[in-house]
Amino acid sequence: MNKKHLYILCGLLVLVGITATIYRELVLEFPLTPNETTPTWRIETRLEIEAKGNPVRISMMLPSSQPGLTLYNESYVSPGYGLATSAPTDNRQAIFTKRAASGTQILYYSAVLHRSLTRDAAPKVRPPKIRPSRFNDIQMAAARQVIGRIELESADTDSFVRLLFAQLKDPRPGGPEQLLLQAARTRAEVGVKIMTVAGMAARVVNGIALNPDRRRAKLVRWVEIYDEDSWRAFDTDSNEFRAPPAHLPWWRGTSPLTSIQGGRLIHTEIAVRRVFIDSLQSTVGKQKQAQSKFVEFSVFGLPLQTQEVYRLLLTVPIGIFLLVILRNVVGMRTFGTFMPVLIALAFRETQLLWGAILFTSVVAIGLLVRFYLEQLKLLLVPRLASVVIVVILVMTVISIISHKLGFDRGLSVALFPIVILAMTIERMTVIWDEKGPKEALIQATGSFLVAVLCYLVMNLDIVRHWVFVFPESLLLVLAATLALGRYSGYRLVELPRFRVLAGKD
Amino acid sequence: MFRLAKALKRNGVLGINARNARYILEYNERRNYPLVDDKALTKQVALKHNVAVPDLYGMIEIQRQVATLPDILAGHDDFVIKPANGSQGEGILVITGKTEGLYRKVDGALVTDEDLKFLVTNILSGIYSLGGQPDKALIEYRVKFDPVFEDIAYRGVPDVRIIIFKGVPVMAMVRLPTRMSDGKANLHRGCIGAGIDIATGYTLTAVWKNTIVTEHPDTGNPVSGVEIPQWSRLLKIASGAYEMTNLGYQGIDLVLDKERGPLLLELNARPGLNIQIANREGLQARLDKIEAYTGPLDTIAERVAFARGNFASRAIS
Repeated sequence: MNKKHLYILCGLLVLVGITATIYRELVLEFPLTPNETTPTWRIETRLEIEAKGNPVRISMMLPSSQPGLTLYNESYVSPGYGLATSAPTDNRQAIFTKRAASGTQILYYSAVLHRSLTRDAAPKVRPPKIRPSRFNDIQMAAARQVIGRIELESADTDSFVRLLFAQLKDPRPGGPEQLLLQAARTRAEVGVKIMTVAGMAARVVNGIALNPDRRRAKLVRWVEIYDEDSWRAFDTDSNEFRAPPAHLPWWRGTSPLTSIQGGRLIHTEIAVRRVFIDSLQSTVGKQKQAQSKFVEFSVFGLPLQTQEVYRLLLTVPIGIFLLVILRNVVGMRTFGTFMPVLIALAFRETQLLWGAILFTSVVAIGLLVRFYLEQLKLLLVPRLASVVIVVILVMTVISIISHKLGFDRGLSVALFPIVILAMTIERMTVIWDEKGPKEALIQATGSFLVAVLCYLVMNLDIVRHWVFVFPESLLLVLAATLALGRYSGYRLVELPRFRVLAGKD
Repeated sequence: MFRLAKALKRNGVLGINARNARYILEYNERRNYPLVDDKALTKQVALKHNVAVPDLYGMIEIQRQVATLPDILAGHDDFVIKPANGSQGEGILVITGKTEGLYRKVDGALVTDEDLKFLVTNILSGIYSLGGQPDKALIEYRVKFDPVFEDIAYRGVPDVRIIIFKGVPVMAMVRLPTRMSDGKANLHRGCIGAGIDIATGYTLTAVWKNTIVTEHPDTGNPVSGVEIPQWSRLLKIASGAYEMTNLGYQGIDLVLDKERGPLLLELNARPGLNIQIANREGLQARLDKIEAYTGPLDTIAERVAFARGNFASRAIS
């Protein structure tokens, strides 16, 4: 009955753990291994400005996330500048300000862009207000002429747009199109102007091509036309209703990338680089941008510093599970049940070799002090307290000496669990007295070996990745631990112990 | 390795995990543990059931009482100081005599009043107790062992360990102290364990540190084929421990005193498994037999008869 109950419980835990893990893996696209990479680009913008000792105000258009493209890890390098970003409404802007700047000013902006493989539909938006563009009288007349002719030849918005850009691309010499093309720098801009005159909602899109490697990316323009509740992209190069392939729309409208007051722009450079960053990072970044509830209600929703704590804490169950196996299936003896796992945690910070050196020296010095205290015949609690105090002092001295000698690893001795060390020293002296130094050393070595094993397992990249990204998988560890609670087979060390009872064959 | 495990399984050798999961967790209720873990309570319960125990000279429960230790010891030349909740014989001190205000230990070394007080203080603070709980110190009668063991025990007191399952004696051994075990009857301290044939009460082969021996390493006398005196009484006392504690699986430690006969020393809710090595036989088959038996096992007589009829030695060669 008990056993059946246990097995059902374990089965349920396994089921829930596996389901949640699979969901996270397949639906939320969390990577299974630590170094899976996904197509990602890093975009860097470098502005060079000449300032003349006046207050400077530089505003720069910023790209923003959109369906199919997620932007994250944005960073700015602008020494001495105040920075403000406007809320993401139509165009995001970064505004750098400085009271007085002189000489060459260099500002950087960089961001990581992740392209997801899923294609989302363009979001529905309310119809925008149409503001007819300003043309001078001659241009206005030319525009009306062009519109009038195309309206006769076209059947709907689609064919109107296609015809318009076909004519702008290949203008008849001396025709109204040629006149209009002189009104703005790009075809896209001219086309949008004409369309607004015709009473259509249209806008220019400025973007860059996401090529594998482009030290100097050129800004490209295309057009978006409001049609049936959403903006549709139109590529003026190919005359097709689609966004140019593999392009990042940066900002909308005809404003320039940067506008500067109190200085002169010398140089703008946009670099696009394909990077192979950790797929986990980009998934989390993406989910965060999408404000997914699953990210919010997971470890990734916590503040970074707390995340680091959990990165460490979530490996503890793995160490404890290993400890259960080593104690109940192998039969190793250790000081204190979970002491080795705590020591293993400290090893993560100190690194193995230094951890071993520091651990041995603290315990050895502690033992010497403890043996001395034995002569004073102190009561247990004050004696333990004295050992704790001595351990702390020893750790402080080790830190100071190693720092002076230039071994900065020695500083990490402070991460050892002090009370656990003191208890270890106390247990070790009692066993030393009671069962002899041999037994004490055997148990100390055993504890140390278990700690090293725990450290090695808890520190495997795949283990760290799994427990952090798929904490549900710890339910499987719990199930296995519970199941081991009813393990009634031999311990490994019992085999040689009972060897005489094995009989002849 | 798997062959070894299989062979052990076939011979019915009980491992720690199986002992804990299938017998201790199943048959021993935790609320009964204090009766066996606290030797002062064990003494009370034993006396209530008319089982003789070593006389209690005094008990020290709080640090303040440590000063009264010399008063407790005043009338006694020899005595034993032990922690009430000790495990594996830790913290036990045997004093065999006094000379000029000093106390003589089993090995002849002399200790002072102060040493004894320090031991008691340590006992109270709980270093020897299970889980480090504050403890009590017992000062009690020192057992003078039966002359039958004179030739095969070195200094300490040999004791008889009988494991009972549901009140039926399952397996027994006698532990003979050696020079190596410092006069203590504790197998992993190097004392000899000799299995006892439940049916006859004669010792079987003996083990000393995992090797089979036929002679006592210190005295050179044979340790096999020795008859344990009053074997029937020992079996009855052991079997009766079931009524005392209600623990289904327990170990009973008895000593044979020269003057007072069998005395109950202590009970153990988690008896060790080395008894299998001393008997060269696994526990599993015997335990299974008791579990499968449907006849009455209600009285001590029935249980002892069942044990003697079924558990004659069948040592593994």
